[in-house]
Amino acid sequence: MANKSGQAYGLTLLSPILAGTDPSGDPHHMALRAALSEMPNGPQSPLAAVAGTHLARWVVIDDVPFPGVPSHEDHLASRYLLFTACFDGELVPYLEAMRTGMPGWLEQIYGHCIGYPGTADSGAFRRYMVSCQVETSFFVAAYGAATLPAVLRALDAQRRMIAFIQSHQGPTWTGDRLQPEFRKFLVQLEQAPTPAPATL
Amino acid sequence: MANQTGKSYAMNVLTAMERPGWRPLGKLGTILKLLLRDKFFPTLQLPRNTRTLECVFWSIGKGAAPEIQRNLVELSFIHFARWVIIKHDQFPRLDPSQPAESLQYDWLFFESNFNGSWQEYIEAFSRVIPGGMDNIWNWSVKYPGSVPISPFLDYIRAGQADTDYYYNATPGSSTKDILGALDLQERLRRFATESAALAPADFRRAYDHFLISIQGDLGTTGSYPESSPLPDDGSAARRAPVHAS
Repeated sequence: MANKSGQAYGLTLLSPILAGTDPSGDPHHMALRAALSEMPNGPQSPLAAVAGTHLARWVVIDDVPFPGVPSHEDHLASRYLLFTACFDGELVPYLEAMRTGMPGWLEQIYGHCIGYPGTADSGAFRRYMVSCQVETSFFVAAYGAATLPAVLRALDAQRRMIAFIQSHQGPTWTGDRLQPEFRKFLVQLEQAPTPAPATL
Repeated sequence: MANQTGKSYAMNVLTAMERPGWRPLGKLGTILKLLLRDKFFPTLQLPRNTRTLECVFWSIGKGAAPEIQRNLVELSFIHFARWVIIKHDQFPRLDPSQPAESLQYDWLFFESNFNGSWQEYIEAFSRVIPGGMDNIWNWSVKYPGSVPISPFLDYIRAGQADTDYYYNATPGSSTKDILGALDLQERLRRFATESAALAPADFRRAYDHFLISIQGDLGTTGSYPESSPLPDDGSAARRAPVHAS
């Protein structure tokens, strides 16, 4: 299945955006863009609370581009909200993690989309998202075998290793002094918590 | 617009593709032609349409073109990339009140998450895997080829859509940092096991060898480099108000 590369899943959703204006009088696509621009990013991003999300994006597609003369001039009848995510594991648990991890933001975003049922009913939410899914044709991942916690732990280990090397260099660090320090370092590394997403 | 988060740039490109006409053998005929072209007749022309691209992806998936996939992964600045064929009738219609799409073309969506500047990235694609890129975009309407570079840049730029929100769980880390960290962790585990019973003097020697072996894995993460903006295509000037003289 082209949605997967290693254990990583490449999700692609196209959600048609409501025509017309929202209750405040703003066009739905503009209100949606405003909601996206207000969403915090980094460790405070709601997507940081959706376990296993490596990368994700939302893009408002206003229309398809014109390929140039001579060619047909296609136009979309609706605007679409594109959501793509690269995450660990399988689709259904991921959609459930989105539903429970960021319900308020989902309401603010997908409340401007046609047919969005809200997050109260798990089955209805999943059916809506799946009905918006477009199969990924070809998906490439540079580190598709590594889960996000594994990546974060590896990056943390890399930083700690650099710090250990820097603080334990020079001729005074003979084997009998260095070896116990290294063993202590390995224990600390083992016991270190997994860093939070979007902090490294 | 939020095309960049941390060290990673989000690229989205939409290109039009011709819909295939009816053929007696359908995809099977195209796959046979692809095989014939790869094995015996490199100049054999294939129809520039969606069916051919589906067959190209199918053959890559079956290992017929492992070099394309390998080259993509070896482009050390790509985290994840995807191509999605959206046929003219595959745009989701979720309610009868939603107007039906009536598109002439099928559409190819390309997404990438890469480190570095926009132009460097596209140029690297053009330089490192020109044949591979042609295999994937050759079936798009008016695709100029990946070499020479400037029409290729214009083509990609014309199809690009800006990202409204971009989340990155490892914003301070490039793909190379992550691959290095994963490799370091594996080597560290191995060294910890192998050196556990060494005498102190032997440990010191083994440790020095270990440090030499992991030099390439010790990237410094954290700072965000400046990336080049999308090159100016003149649209800003066209949007500027015109004053009557």
